[in-house]
Amino acid sequence: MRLERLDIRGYRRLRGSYELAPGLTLVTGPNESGKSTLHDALVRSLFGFSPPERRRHGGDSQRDERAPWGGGPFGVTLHARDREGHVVLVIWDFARDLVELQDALTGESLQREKPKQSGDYELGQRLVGMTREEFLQVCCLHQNALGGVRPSDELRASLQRAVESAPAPEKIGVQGADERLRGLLSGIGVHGGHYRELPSGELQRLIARESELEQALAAARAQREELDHIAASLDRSRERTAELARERQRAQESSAGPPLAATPGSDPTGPEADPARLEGGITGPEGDPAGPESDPEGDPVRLGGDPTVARFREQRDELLSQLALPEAQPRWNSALLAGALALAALAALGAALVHPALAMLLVGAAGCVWAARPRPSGEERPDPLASFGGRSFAELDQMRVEEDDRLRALQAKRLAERLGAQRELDIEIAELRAVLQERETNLAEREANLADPADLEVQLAETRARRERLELTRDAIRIARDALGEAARDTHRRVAPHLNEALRRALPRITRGRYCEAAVDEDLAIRLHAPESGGFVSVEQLSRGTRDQVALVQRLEIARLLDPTAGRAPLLLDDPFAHFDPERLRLGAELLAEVAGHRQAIVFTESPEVASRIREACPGCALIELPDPVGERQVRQPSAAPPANAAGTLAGM
Amino acid sequence: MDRRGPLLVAPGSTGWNRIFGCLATDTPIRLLHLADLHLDRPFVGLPLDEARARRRELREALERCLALAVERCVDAVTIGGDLWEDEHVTPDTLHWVAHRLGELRLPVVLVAGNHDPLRPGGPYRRVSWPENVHLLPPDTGLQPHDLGELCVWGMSWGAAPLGARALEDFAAPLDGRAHVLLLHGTAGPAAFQPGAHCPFTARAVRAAGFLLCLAGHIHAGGVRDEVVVYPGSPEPLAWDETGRHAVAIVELPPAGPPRVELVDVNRRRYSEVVVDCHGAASSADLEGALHGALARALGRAAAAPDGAQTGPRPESAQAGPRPEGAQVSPPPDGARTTLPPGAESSGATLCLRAALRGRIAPDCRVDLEHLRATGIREGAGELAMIDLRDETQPAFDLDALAAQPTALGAFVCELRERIESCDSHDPSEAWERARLELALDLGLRAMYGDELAHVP
Repeated sequence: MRLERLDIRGYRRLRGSYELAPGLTLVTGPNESGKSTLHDALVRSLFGFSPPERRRHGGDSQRDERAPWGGGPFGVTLHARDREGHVVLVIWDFARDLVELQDALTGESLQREKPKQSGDYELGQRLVGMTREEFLQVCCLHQNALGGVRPSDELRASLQRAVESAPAPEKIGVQGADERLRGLLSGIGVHGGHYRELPSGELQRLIARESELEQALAAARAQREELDHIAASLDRSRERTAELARERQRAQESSAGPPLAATPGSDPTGPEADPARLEGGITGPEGDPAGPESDPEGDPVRLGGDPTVARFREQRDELLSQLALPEAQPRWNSALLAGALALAALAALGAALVHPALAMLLVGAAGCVWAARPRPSGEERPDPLASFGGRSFAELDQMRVEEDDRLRALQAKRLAERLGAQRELDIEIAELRAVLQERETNLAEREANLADPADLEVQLAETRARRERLELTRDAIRIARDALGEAARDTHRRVAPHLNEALRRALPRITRGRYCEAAVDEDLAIRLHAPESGGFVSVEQLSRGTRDQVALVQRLEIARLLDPTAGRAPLLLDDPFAHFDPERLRLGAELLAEVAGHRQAIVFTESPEVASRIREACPGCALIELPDPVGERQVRQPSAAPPANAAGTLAGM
Repeated sequence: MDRRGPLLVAPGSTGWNRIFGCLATDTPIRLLHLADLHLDRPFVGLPLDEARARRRELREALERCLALAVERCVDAVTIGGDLWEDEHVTPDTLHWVAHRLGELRLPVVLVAGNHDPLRPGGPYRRVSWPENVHLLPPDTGLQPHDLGELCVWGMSWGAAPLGARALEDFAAPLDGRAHVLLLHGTAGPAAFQPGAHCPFTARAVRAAGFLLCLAGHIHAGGVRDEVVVYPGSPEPLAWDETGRHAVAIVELPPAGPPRVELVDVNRRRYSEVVVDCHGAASSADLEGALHGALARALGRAAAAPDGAQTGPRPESAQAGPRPEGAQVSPPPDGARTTLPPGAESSGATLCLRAALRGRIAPDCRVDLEHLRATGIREGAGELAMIDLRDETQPAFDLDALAAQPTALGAFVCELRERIESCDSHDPSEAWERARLELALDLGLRAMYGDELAHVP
C-alpha cells in the first residue's frame, strides 16, 4: 500500500490536498503549523478512531477534539495504490463513524464499514497488513518519543509472523500455510483439531465403502468356499451312490442264482430257484445272474452251508448210484433167470434120469437163483445193506426231507434278510440320489447367484488406494502442521537475533564504528558492546543521541520485518532526529534515505537544518511546507483549495 | 478313464487320425501349446471398466488360440496350467471354456496350475468336461496321456503345492514314441530363487528322456535352455509383463529334432515410461513432455527392435534326435530362441503407464485427467489406455530454503533430516518416508500459497 494523496475536508485546522511521494516525503513547518495534525490525520486515514477515542466521557471524545475548528465536514479521503497497482479511495466521515473503500477508477464500493460502538475498524489491517497498535509501535515515531519498542504480545505475534515469512516476499507465513493445510484437511473430511474423520467427509465415506466392499468380498469368498464344499460333498455323494449301487448289484447277483437246482426232489420252479424273481420290482434290467463261479464269495446257502447236510447229500448220492445198477437191468435179468430156470429144469430132468441126487442139486441151485431174482417196484425185497450209518434208508429219507425243509427255511430266511438289506440299500441309494439332486440344484442356484469377486476386488482396491492416499495426506498434513508450528516457535525465539543482525549491520555506520556489537534479548531490550568496558551495556545507559540512533535502527528493522512486502505500511517519522548532533544527523539522514529507497517514508520536522540534511541525503524527496499559522503563509504545497467533492464525500452513507 | 478316450469321442477328428497315422505318413505331430491365460483375472489397479474390458479380452485371446489351432491343423492342444484364477473364475467362464474346448474336437491335454489347482470341490470338479479334454491328475506323480505315437506326461497342481521331485526319478519309456512333459512350474534362473513355484531344470527334463517340456507359469514367452517351452500368457497381465505373449506351435517329426514356433497372439502390450517433466513451468510443458514420451513409446511399436517381424513371428528351436535327443541344438538359421526383453508383438495396441517425474515449477498444475485425455487423443488407434502417475516435485531449492534463518528454513531442515534418517532400503520405513516427503511438499506449497484443493 502506498499513500499517494490525502484530501482533508476538515481535520482540526487543516483542510486541503497533500501529495505524497512514493519514497521520501519531507513535511516541514514551524511550530503549530500542523505537522503533528497531518501526521495524526494520516494515521486516522488508515485506522480511523478506536472505540475509546470515539467514546465521550462527560464532554467531548478524542475524536471530537479533532473536528474542524471552523466547522464543516469532518473527514478525509486517502488516495492509495495497492500492491496490484489499483488506486483506491478511503473515504472517512469521522463525524458519522463511516468509512468506505472505493475503486478510484470505477467508483465501485469495495467495502463499507460502520463499526458498532465498541467495535474497531477492520479496514486498516486490510490496507497495511498490521493492526493499529503494531502500526503505531513500529511505523510511527512520534516527536521526542524515539524510545525502545515495547514488546507487547501483539507485537511479538506480529514479529513472529514476520520473521517466519522473511525474507521471501511470495510466502504467506506459517499461519496462512496452516490455514491452507486445514482447508485441505477439511476437504478430505478430517477434523483439523483431533484429526479424526468427519462424519460426512470423504475419508469416512471411503472407509464405510471399503468396509462394505470387504464384507461383500468376504461374503462372495465364503459363498465360493461353500460352493466348493458343496461340490466336494457332491463328489463324495456321487462316489457313495456309485459304491452303493455296486454293492446292490453284487447283492442282487448273489441272490439271483439257482441255489437248489441240483437238489434232488427240489422244485426247480420253486421260490428258491430265483428268489429275486419274487421281488420282480427289485431286479433291475441290469441284473445279470451270473453263475456261482463268477462270485467266489457266493452265498454259503447255495453251497449247503451246513456240513452235515452236505455230507449227507454226498453219501446219499453215492448210495443212489450204487442202488441204481440193479434197477437198470430188470428185463434182461428175468430173461436170464427164465432161461436159467429152464435149463435147470431140463438139467434136473436129465439128471433125474441119470442120478436123482444130481437132480436134487440142480433144483436147489434153481431155487437159490429164484430167490435172488430182481423184483418189481414195491415188492418187498431184502435190503442188502439194511442200514446206512446206523440208520435205515427210511430214516435217512426222512432226514433228507427234513433237511430239505430246513434248507428251504434257511434259504427263505437268508433271502428275506438279503431282500431286507437290498431294500435298505435301495432306500439309501434313493436318499442319496435325492440329496444329490438337491445339492446339484442348490449348487446350480448358488452358482447362478454367485457374486463376481473380480469386480469387487477391483472396486475394493480402488477404494482402498484412495483411502490410503487420503490417510497418507492426512498424516502428511499433520506432520507438516506440527513441523511448521514447531519451526515457527523456534523462529520466534530467534526474532531477537534478526534484530541483532540488523543492528550489527547498521550500528557501525550510524555510530561511526564506535558500537559494532549488539545483543537484543527476547524482550527486545537492546544491549551494546561497549569497547570501554569490553562487555555489553544496556542501551538505556548510553547517551540520548545513541539511544535514539539505536532505537531508529531497531524500528526500521522491525518495520522491515513486519512489512516484508516493502511499502505496504509507510513510515511516519515525527522529528526523529531532534536529539542528533550534526554528524549523527547526517548518518541518520543517509540511513533514512536508504530506507526510503524501498519503502515509503514521511518525515516531519520543524528544523530547517534537519530538512536540509535530509534533502541533501535524498534529493528526490517531495516537500510539503506547512504555512506558519500566524501569517497563514502558504509557500508551495499543499494547495489551499478544498478537495473535490466527488472524491471527498460519503453521500448516501 | 479309457486312455483312448479321445479316439472314441472324436473318431473322425483330424487330430486323432494324424497322431496315430503320423509315422506311417511321415507327417510330424503338431501341437499347439498355450498356458497362463488367467481367465477372470480381476486386474486390480485398473479402473473398473478397463478391468472388465481386459477380462473380456482374455476370453478373446483363448478364441484366437483355438482358431489358430484349427488354422494350423494341429493334432492336439496342450494347456500348461493357470487356465483361470480359482478365486475369481465364474461358472459362466467354466462352462464357456468347457464348451469351447469341446467344440474344438481335438484332443486337449491340460494340467492345472497354481492358480487353478485341481482340488476337491474346485472349479474343475464343477463342470462337465467334454471327453476330448483330458486333465492329468495331481498327487500321483507323472501320469501319461497316450496319443498314439505321442505320449504326454504331466501332473497337475492339487490342493498341496506341487514339486517336481517326481521328475528326478522318472525315465520315459524307450518305446520309440515321442514323450513330452506338460508341467506348470519354474525353470531357468528363477527356479533357484526362494519361493519358486515347482522349480525344475532343463537338465532334469532331458535326463528323464523328454523331448520337450511344454511349460506354464512364466508369463514371458520363450524357450529356456532349448528344451523348456514357455509360450507366455496370451495377453500381458501386469505392467511389468513386457515380454512375448504367444502360443507355441510344436512339431514333432518322426525323425529329427522338434521344432518350436512362438506365435504372438496378444492384442495388448504393456509399456512403462518415465516422462521427464523437469523444469516444466506450466501444464503446456507437461503436455509437451507427455507428447514426446508417447511418440517414443508408439515409435517403438512401429519399429520393433532386432528386426522383429510384423504379424505372428515364428521362433524356432530344433531338438536333437529323438527319443534320446533331449539335447536341443541351436537353430541353424540363426533364428532367435528368445526375444530380448521388451520386445513386443506388432499390431498390439499399447497400454501405457507413464510416470511424470522431475522438478517442476511450484505453481505448475498437474491435471492428470486432462493429460490422460490428451494422451488418448494423440495415440488414437494405437493406444488402448494410459495410466498416468504424478511423481513430480515442486522445484524448490531445498538447500537454499534450509539455509534461511526463518520458520520455513527450520521446517525444511527438520523434514529433510527426518527423511534422510529413514532407511530407503527398509520397506517398513517406506510409508514413513512417503509421509515425510509429502509433508514437505505440502508444507512448501502451503507456505508459497499454492491452491491445495486437491489431494496430491
